[in-house]
Amino acid sequence: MRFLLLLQRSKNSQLLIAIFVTAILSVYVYTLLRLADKVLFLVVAGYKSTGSYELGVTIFFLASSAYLYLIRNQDWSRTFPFFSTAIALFFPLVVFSSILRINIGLPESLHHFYATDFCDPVVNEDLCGQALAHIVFSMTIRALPLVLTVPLLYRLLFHHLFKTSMVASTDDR
Amino acid sequence: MTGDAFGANAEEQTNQRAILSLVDTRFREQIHQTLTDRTLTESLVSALFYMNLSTFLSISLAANGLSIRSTTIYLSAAYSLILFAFIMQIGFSKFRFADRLIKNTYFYGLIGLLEDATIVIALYFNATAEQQVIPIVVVMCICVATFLSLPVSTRLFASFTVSKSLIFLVCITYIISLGDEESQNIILIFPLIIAFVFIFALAYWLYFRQIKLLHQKFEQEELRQIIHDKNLTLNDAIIAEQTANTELTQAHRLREKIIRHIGHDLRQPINALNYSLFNIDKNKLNKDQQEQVNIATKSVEAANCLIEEVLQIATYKKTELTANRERFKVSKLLHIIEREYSVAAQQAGCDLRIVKCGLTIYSDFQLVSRIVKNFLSNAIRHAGGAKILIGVRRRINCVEIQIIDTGQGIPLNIRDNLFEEFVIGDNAKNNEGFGLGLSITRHLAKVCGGEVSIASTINKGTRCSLSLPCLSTD
Repeated sequence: MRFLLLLQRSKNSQLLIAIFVTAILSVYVYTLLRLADKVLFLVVAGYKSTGSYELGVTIFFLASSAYLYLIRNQDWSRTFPFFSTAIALFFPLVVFSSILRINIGLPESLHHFYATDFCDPVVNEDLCGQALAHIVFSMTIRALPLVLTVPLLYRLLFHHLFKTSMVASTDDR
Repeated sequence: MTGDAFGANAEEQTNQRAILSLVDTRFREQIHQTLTDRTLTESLVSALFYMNLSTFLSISLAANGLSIRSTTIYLSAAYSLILFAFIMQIGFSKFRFADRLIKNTYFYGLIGLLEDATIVIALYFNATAEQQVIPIVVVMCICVATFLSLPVSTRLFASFTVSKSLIFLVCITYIISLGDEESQNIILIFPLIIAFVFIFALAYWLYFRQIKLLHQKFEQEELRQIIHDKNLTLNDAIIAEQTANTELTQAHRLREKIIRHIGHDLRQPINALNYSLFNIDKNKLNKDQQEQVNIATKSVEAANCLIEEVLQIATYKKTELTANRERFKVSKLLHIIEREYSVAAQQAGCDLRIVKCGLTIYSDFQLVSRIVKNFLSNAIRHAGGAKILIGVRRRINCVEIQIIDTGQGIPLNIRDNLFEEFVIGDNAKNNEGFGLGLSITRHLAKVCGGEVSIASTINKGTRCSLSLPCLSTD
C-alpha cells in the first residue's frame, strides 16, 4: 500500500501508474498465453502454437503504456470507448500481425509445417491463404481469453487501486 | 366504406408512396440529413464494424484458397477506404467541399463500391497465383458479409443496393463464364441468387421501416410545434380577453355610477320644479301663461320619465331580475292597457284597437305588462295619427302578442341594432327618450323566457311582437 501511495504522490504519477498497471498486465498476458497454448494443444485437434510471445508481450507493454497514459490524460470517465475500440481493433490487428509474421519472421519449423500440411510446396514456395487463415485462427482463439479479461482488469485496477489519484487528477484539470 | 374513410385511406397510401420514394414527403430534407449526419461515435463504430467485416471476409476467402498476397491487397485497399471515409467524416466536415461530399448519399455508395471492387481486384491477382479460390465460395462469402452489414448499410439503401448488386453480378458472371469446367458452381447459383434477393428484401424492409419511423418522428415534432404555437396564441388571446373583460367591467361600473349620480342629482331640481309648478295657482294666470305652465309641467314629466328610464336600465343590468310567474288571462292584460292608453292614443290622433283573446298564459304579469306598454307607447309616440292594433296569435309552442301600427316605419339604418342601448331613429330625435326602452324590453322578455322582435316597412308600418312560451293555455 505504501508503494501505491508513493506512486500516487510522485511527480510523474500518471506515467508511472500507466507503466505499473501495464507491467502487471503484461505478466498476466504472458502467463495466460502460455496457459492457453497448452490447453488448446490438448483440446483442439490440429491446433498449432505460433510460438514466441516475447515480441508480442513487449509490443503490448509499450503500446498499452502509451495508450493508458494517453487516455488518462484525456478523460477518465470516457474510457469505455477506448477499451471498446481496442477490442474492435483486435481482429484486424491479429490478421495484419499474422501477415507480417509470415512475410518477416515465421520460424523455420512453423514454415515447414504450414508449407507441407496446408499448402503445396511443389507448386508454390510461399505460404498459401489456408496457412494464413490457420495462423489467424490459432492466434485469435489463443488471445480470446485475453481480449475478454484484460479490459476488465484495467478497469478494476484503475477503479480500486488508483481511485484517489484519479479523482485528484480530474480535479486538477 | 364511407367517403371520409376512403379519403383517409387514399391519403395514407399516398403518404406511404411518398415516404418510400422520399420525393414528395414534406420531411425529405430532414430525413436525408438524419441519414447522412453521423456523430463521432457512429462514425467510429461504423468504421470498426467495416474493418472487422472486411477482415472476416478476407480470412474466409483465404481459408478457401485466396493467396496471402491477394488478401493483403484486399485488406490494404479496404482499410484505406474505410479510414478515408472515417477521416473525412470526423476531420474535414468543417470544410464546405468535404461537408457537401459527406452529405451526399453517393459518397458512401462510392466508398462501398470501391471496397467491393477491391475484392474483384484481389481475385484478379489471385487468378495469376497457382492456388485459386473457388468462385462460388467468393459469392457465398459476399452473401454472408452483405447480410452482416445490413444494420449499418441499409441506412443508405441506394448506395447499399448499387455496390452489393454490382459485386454480386460480377461474381455470378465470373462463375457463368467458367461454364462446364465448374458445373458444380452453376448448380449453386440459383439458391445463391435466392439468398441474395432475400437479403435485399430484408434490407429494403429495414430501410423502409427506418424511413417510416423518421417520418413519424418529424411529423410528431411538427405537430408538437403546432400545438405549442397554438397554445401560445390561445394564451395570448385569453390574456387579451381577460384584459378586455376587466376594462369592460370597469367601464360598466363607471357608467352605472355616472348614471346613478346623474339620476340622483337631476331628480332633486326637477322635483322642486314640479312642486313649484303644481303650487302655481292657475286661476290667476291668463291663457297664454296657463299654456306655458302646462308645457313646463309636461316637460318636467318627460324629464322625470327619462330619468326613470336611465335608472331602470342601470338597475336591470346590475341586479338579477326574476320572473314571478302566474296564470293570467291575456284579455285582462289587454283590458288594463286599453284603459290606460286609450286617452293618450286619442290625444295623439291614433286609432287604437284591441282584438279580444281568451288565452291564458303562465308568466310574470307585471313584466309582460311593461313590455306591451313600452311597445304601445312607442307606437303612439312615433306613429302619430296612425292606426294601432293589439292582437294575440297562438303559435305552435308559444303565444305572440303583437302591436301593429300603420306609421312611418323604422329607418333602415337602425333596424339591425334596434335593441341596443341609446339607439334612436332620426324621426324620433325630436321626441323624448334616450333609446333605452327597447333594450329594457328585450331584457325583460328574456327574464320572462320569451323573445321580442320587430318588423317594419317604411311608410307602411311596424309590427312589434312578444313571444312567450305557451306552458298552459285554455
